[in-house]
Amino acid sequence: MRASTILSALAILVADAAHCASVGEGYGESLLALSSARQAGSGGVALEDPWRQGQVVEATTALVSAGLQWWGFSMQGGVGPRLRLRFDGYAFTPADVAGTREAADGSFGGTSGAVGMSEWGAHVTAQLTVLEAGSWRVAGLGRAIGLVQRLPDERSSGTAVEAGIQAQRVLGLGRALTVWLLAGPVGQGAGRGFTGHMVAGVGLLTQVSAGLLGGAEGYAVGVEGEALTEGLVHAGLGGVYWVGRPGQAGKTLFLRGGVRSATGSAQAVQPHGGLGILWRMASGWGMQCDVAAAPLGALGLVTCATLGVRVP
Amino acid sequence: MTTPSYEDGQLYLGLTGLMGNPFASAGRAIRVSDRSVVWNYGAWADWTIVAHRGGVAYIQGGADSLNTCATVYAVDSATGVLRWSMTDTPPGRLGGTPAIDADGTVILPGWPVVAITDTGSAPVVRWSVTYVGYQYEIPEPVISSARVYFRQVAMPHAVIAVDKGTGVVAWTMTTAGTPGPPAVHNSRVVFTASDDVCAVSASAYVYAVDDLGDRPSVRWRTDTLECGNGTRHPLIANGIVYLTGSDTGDTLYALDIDTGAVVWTHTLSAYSAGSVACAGGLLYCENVNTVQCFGKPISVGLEVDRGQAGAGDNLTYTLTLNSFGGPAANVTLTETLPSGLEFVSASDGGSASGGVVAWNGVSVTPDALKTVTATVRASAGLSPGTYTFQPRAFATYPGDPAYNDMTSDSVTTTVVVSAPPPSVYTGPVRVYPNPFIPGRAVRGTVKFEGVPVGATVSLYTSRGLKVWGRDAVTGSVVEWDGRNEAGKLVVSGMYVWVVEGSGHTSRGKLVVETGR
Repeated sequence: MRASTILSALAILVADAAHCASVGEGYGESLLALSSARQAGSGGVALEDPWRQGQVVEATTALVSAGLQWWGFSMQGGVGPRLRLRFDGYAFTPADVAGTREAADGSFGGTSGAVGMSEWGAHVTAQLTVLEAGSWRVAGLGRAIGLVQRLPDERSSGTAVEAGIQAQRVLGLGRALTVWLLAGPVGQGAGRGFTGHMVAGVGLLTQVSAGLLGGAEGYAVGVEGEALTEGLVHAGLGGVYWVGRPGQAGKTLFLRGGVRSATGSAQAVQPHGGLGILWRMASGWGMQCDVAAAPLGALGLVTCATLGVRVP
Repeated sequence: MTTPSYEDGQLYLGLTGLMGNPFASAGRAIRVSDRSVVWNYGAWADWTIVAHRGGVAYIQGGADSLNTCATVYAVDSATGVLRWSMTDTPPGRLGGTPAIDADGTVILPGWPVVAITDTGSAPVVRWSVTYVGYQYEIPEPVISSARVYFRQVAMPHAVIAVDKGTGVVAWTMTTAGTPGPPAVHNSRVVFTASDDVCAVSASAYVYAVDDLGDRPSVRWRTDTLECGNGTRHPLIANGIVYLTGSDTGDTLYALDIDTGAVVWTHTLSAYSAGSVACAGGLLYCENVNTVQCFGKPISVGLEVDRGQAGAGDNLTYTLTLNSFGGPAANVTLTETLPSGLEFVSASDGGSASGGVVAWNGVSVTPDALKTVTATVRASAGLSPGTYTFQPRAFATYPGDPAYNDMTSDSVTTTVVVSAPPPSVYTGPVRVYPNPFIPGRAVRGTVKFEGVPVGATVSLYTSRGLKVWGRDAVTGSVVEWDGRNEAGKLVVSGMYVWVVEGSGHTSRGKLVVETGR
């Protein structure tokens, strides 16, 4: 099995059951909990690789116990042999924000109606392979970000871009090592105030024919770090293990878990875990679903569910 | 025996003619509770006078060539041990009862008058003034704030007001007769003045003079009261002037200090020519070699269960009747409630009408105190301030016509009503205003109200990034000005607040609009 095939299949598996990673990620205000560590564990940004085959359409919802809910939609696919595009759109609609008033003397002035607030955003990510030589593949990464935020007395929008690079080396049959670097964003947005960050990571992927259970199995591990210009540092360590051959017809079950450390967040150390299944058919169509959860300290438990369809 | 004085449970007396020796004298301290002698301090003189204040008894005595008051002894009031003494310094004669001020100033009357400061171990002379050239003419001064008042026995008869710090005369008021020792309260000087210093039966008036600074102003004068030979030393207490008098000197008078009206009189068992001391609601009158204790035949004590209250609080006060004048029947006890206090209940058939709580037909015997109680409530809208209880008792003594229709002295107790504390919200945490726009909010802050003491308040972005927090809050309201820990306004958007404390966590959403 070619390494690129393995990578493509794995990308569908773990490819982000959660676009929680990007849906609601907010770039530079990361931490919807499941993001970086899972990315690290599954290959991170490298999963959005130009070698991935086929097209994927996914819908995601992430819930935070405080009543916050994110909705996400993504599509990704290749445009030619070297370019791969990914679109992520999201909407943030916090329900039941109870309005309150203040009396003239600064005391409680009673309740008012619900406070209307919403946010929409979209990211377009492009990965362009710029070098493919032997076991090495190098791609440039680029992202454009746009968002609109509507508040009761304020409406604003923002745009930004960021760029990066990733390199992958196939270490042998069924094994690949990927490193990536992404920095940004550069832009402006009255409603968001993009915070600069730099993300770097490394991931190792292995696919074996006879694993612990005697059949096809695989695993990937990775680490990723993120430094924000405001001084915060995030770091994640994660891994994913699957049973099956995700590149072929049939069912594949995968488990993942990891831990993330984030300064200045609701919980300094955030463990997370998830469970997913991929059902591919011979026609090339496939379905995948994924659920994941992570405690976010004072904000409670974050849950994320993703349903995806693989298009031949 | 000379003028008694009272302080802290002890009476201080000057004793003369001890053991039959006219020059054997002593200062004596007597414990009032059991009438035991605490100490004697021998002061060899023909007479001895004791004044007391602040733990020191000043005994006038000592032996000079005349065996009269040439020395002042400062004696520890608890032990009778001598601290220091001063003899004829400057040369002259000391005489009369010293006047002592709270600031340590001691005025030693005599010729001249000497003002000293008692350092505790020695006297320091501040000034010495000879007002007239006649010994004994400046006895019994009194001190009031910045003034010292003397009586001038020598002609011309007068009462003199001098500056306490310098001894300079401020004004002199001549009197028709020999003035008695003055008493002073709130710049009102009370003294007697007779036409003849030697005639016991001579007429003497009681004057009440207001000190206007540069001159005296007669407030009232009792033209009809016979006060004997004019040496009566009035006592002012609780708005009453007490003094002995009458043709035979055996009447104790109580006069209203504002009007001079006779409040009551009491016939003493013997002649009393000196001053009156007051302690514990009882009066101590100088008598010949004895101290007689007098009081109103009926007294009422008052105790309120709390000295401070808030609007809406209940207060219970207890009135204690003591009829040491004999069995009293049909006593009426009244208490006019301070404005703003509402009657709630009363024991022993007490009732309220027109703001007056009254108990009627109460019987009291001398050997048993009668106690009644009443509960009142500070009105909910009662203004902060001091409220005064002044109960009185009216008693009739069938067996003693002299005591008919006696009115007890008024006792006073105040209750401070404080402003009600601001109501503290104790319900679920509420955050306002929401949405929070710093420029429109009072003080530019959003308020977290109902936060338990000791709790932690945190604010996160919708992605879980902490932007602000407060640990171990001390009040129920915490305010946030829209700035992160670095002092920068946060960007507009949805934030999640979390309050953790007392084993409970509350969280909610806050929309912030900062324009960023």
